[in-house]
Amino acid sequence: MADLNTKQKILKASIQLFNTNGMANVRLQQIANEIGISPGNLAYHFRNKEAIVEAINDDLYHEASEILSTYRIFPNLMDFDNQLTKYLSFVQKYPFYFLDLLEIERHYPEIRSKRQVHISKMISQIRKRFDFNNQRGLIVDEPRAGVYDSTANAIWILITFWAPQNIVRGVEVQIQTSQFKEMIWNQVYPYFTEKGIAEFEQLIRPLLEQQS
Amino acid sequence: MDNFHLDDDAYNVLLNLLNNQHFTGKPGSQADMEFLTDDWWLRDTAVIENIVKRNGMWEIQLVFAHYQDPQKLIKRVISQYPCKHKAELNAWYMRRLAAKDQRGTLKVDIADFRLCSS
Repeated sequence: MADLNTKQKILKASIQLFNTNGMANVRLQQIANEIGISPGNLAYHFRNKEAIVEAINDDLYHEASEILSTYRIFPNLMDFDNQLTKYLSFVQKYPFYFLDLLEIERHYPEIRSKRQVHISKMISQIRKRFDFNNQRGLIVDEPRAGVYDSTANAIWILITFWAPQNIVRGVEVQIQTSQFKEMIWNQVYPYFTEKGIAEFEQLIRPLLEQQS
Repeated sequence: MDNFHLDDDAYNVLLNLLNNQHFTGKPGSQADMEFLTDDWWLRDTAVIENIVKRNGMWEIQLVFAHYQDPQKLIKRVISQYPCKHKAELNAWYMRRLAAKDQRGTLKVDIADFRLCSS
């Protein structure tokens, strides 16, 4: 932490405390104590907690945008798996963003509005992946209109509520990479054609086994 | 930029375009990559600066010459200066910039190549 400037130290410590204690339970005094500066010094850099949250929100927004930009890098199933890895590390880095979802919804309208922009893009991307792989012959035609729309929504729900469900069940958020991915791939698996299963077994299965 | 917002329909159209690119794009042929092997000889070239007077200006040319085979060379015109000294100075920097062999261990004499500057 030695080479970070005070502002960055404050943000890093705040994220840590938000993650462990929850956003509502962190006071400025605690953040100051965590990095060994006085509350006055902290107030010099950020006038209140909202200002800290706003700064963290900028980082969050950029990281989330970067994940969304990794669409169609590879022309195969690896593309989604790659993006899932990024989503997972995002969830692991900022669990509070998912755990304090309702707190954010109620008290931080700016994070809320930015999140909503990302949500619709995320779901659109997942939905378009079905179309793309259907055209490639890996996924069967939609069995009934709207099935892939709801599966895309379900996958979004799994990604977003993966951290809270882990906490509710008493499991640490930091572990279980392969379970996270497996749960999501299992939503898609029933719709694979033979060619799809072959590609999945060849490209994705070894990765899942490696991570378990 | 932060206030820029793409609406869902436009975003979906963009995603479709990205998807379609996979099916409409044509893979390149082997010949497209041949420039790599064709230009391999350039790795063994010395870069020589050559300054010629043309149209009242001093023109900097860089000559990339194979250090063993005098028949293999290419000449590139870099820029022109009204002042000879300035051209020489810039030519020296350009050569340093372009040379793979920046310490100048490959010795090639420009006179050996009998360049035609007309």
